[in-house]
Amino acid sequence: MDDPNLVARTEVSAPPQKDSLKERVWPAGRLEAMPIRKLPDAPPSIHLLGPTVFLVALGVGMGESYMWPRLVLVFGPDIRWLFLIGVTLQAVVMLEMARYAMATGESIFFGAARVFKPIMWFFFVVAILVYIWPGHLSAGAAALERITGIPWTVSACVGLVLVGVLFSLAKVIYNLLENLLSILIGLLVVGTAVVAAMVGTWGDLTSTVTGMFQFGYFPAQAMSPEWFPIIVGSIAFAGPSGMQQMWYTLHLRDSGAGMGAHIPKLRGLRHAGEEEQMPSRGYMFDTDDSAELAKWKGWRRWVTFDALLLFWGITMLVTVSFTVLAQSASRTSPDVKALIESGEREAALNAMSDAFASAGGPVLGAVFLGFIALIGLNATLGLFDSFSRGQADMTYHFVPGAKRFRMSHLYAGFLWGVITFGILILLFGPADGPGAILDVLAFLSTFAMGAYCVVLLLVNNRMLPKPIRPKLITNLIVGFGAVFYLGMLLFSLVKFGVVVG
Amino acid sequence: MQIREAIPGAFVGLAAGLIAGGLAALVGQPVAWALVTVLSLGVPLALLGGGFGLLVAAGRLPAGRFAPVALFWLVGFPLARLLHEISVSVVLTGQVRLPSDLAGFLAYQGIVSLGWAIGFLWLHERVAMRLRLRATAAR
Repeated sequence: MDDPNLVARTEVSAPPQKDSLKERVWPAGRLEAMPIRKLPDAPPSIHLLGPTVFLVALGVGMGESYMWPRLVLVFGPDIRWLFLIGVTLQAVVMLEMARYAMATGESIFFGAARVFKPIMWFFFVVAILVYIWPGHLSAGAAALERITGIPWTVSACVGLVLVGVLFSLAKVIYNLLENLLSILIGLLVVGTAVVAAMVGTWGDLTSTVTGMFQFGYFPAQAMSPEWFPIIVGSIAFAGPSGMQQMWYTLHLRDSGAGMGAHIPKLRGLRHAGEEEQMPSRGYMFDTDDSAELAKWKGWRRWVTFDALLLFWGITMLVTVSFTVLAQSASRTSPDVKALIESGEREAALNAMSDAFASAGGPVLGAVFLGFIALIGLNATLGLFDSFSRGQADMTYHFVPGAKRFRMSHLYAGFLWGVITFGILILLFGPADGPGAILDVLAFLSTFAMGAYCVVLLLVNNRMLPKPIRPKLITNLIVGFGAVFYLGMLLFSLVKFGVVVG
Repeated sequence: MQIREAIPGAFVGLAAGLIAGGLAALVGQPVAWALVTVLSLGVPLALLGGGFGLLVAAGRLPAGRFAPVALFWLVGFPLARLLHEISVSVVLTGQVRLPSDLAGFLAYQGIVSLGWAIGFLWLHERVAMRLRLRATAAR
């Protein structure tokens, strides 16, 4: 059986018989009420490594491998306390995203629509504006070009088509992608640890780690029009950025976590005919039943393990390792510091690679570029799937007439749409998007993060039954996130006239 | 005790050695150098990884928790790295040389071992789960 949730779904999702009492529901917002169903048992701690793999694949990117090492070289390791705050905030946001998705089997987009539909449409539009540009492919593909000599536009175009074919042929897309990304992330983590063990020193590590606890350190140079927007952008890019946390709710659902077990899995285009009918809303469990609440606690423990160890731990490991590597590289080759400071990303990455090569032999130069390519590949795989999944979910549920298609068809439509557009732009247009709207895109990406913190507060405190709502401290942290992202963004705009860098 | 419980851990340890050695060969390092890396890093990590699986199977270490994995590698990983450093020095210089700041070296490797433990656990669970599913299907 390719869908492990099918048994759970068959056993626990049958509606009450005709003769029994009227079906119980949980009314949430103005949309259709959620029928009450059984919550499946939670898995024992680590035996089901969850969809955090998607968040790690999307989140561990340029922020960890380039932006933060750059800030450390410019301002010293003490600036890293801001990274600690950014990633910790994201871990709490992740847990809160999971709260809604696991309790209902609905995406956070659906939750937003339950509060106020235009909020959901805002995210629908932002996703298209920000994520259709194929610029995110360039760093990984350029690193591959340095290793293999294949022009980056060629490998990027071939990669795009391969991603489309792979996802179209898959029986269950989630299973395929989770397996693929798990191996890639596993190799990245194991490889990063081994390389860091061979190259770094105790001194580099202690300065990097102690720098994370220098709360309040903010040199005067950082408060300049040149650097402040970059710092804001780097905080936003610590861990998952933009809408990546929102997409995580879709992966969580498809992994069968919590009430997601009642929702059928998304299939590839070739197997679309086998897809079960997608319900028009999620489900709720009986929060008055103490046995159900005990199961819920089990699910919260499971997702907390995922959030703290896998997400927080891996993000920290990769960024600490890359910072240690950057420090070691700048000692070997002072040029690399100047290049990194200048902001020429590709030149800086190449210089870092050369510095590693001179420090530890050509193997380290190639390993570094290999990691950048691997990070790029992970992000691309995750991003195309996530974008298509999110847009298909919103279209299916909220565009009139869309339900005559299957979710798989809508997913394939968005997937191939973004791939075709991406190839055209790679060949004929500006990969990052038109220069005139770059600032708008950067603004929207960070604004979406502040906005989803507000959405989380509304959805989890108004749409969920009282016993499973977040505690005050959690609300305060998420509220701080909203103020932090939106406040820094607006401050940068008002004080310096520049959006995030 | 079934020896196949050692396979996932041994696989992950050997994979780490192969990654390091394979990349060394790929970028033109002498084959001997690459082999030393595979053997002196991959084999100790594989032995320790396999031993970890056996300890869990025997009930000496609790399954499904991170802390025992982290503690196991806090000792095991620095030892494997020390063996690797000594082996490389023997092959390159013909002399047994310890790292200049041995305490600092071991402390640093101990910290890095936490990251390694996360990666090890991640891949170990993946491989172990596949093997368990296959064994169940075969039965």
